Amino acid sequence: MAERIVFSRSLYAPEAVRAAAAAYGELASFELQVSAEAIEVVITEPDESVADVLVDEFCNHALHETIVSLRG
Amino acid sequence: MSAPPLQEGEVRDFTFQLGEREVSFDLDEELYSLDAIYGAAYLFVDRCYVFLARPADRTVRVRLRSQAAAEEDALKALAGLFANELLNQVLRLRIGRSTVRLREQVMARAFASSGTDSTIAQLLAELDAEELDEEPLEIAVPWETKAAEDEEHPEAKDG
Repeated sequence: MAERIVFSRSLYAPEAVRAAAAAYGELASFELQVSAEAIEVVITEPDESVADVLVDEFCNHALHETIVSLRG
Repeated sequence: MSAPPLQEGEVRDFTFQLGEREVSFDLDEELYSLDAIYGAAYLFVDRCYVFLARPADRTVRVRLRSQAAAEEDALKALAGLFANELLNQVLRLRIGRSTVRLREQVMARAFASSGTDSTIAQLLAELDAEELDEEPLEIAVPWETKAAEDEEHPEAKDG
């Protein structure tokens, strides 16, 4: 089952979301689409052992990366 | 959807919505800057799942989801702790802004050469210029020198 997450570009950096997708790349397939307003991520084929927390952990990672990148 | 503007004298409470394992609330960026929201979120990503959304212009929706099953009281406490940390971050940023010139001056004085000797150079110069006191017991005089002097002037030794 595919999970779709929409990150606001005013709050999340596209590079940070890409970095999070790369970090979790072994646990699922990530498809990103970046527009002027949002970063849309579709997650498919999650690893069964982490499927229940994958989306939340991924979002946390994307936020963490965004904050770290902004702090330089 | 953003909250309607406040009327004169009206006070808006900190309101939040509770869900299963999660609590969410909207923050007005006029009150809490994005930097403050990021600062608080940064401290909370270790203890819960944090997600930010933009439901309206100048409004940030914060969703905190517990990592395990949580009672309603625990979720309310989580929201309260986040709100406290938000205030902490706002104050921290405000103090940081108000003291930026002072910090810059302190750093500039610490790193810039003032054209005079540094403190260490001044101390070394003082040591070089210092005249040592006479040494009545002649502890620093080598034994051979002292013995040779005694042989040449035995009367001085006897006293």
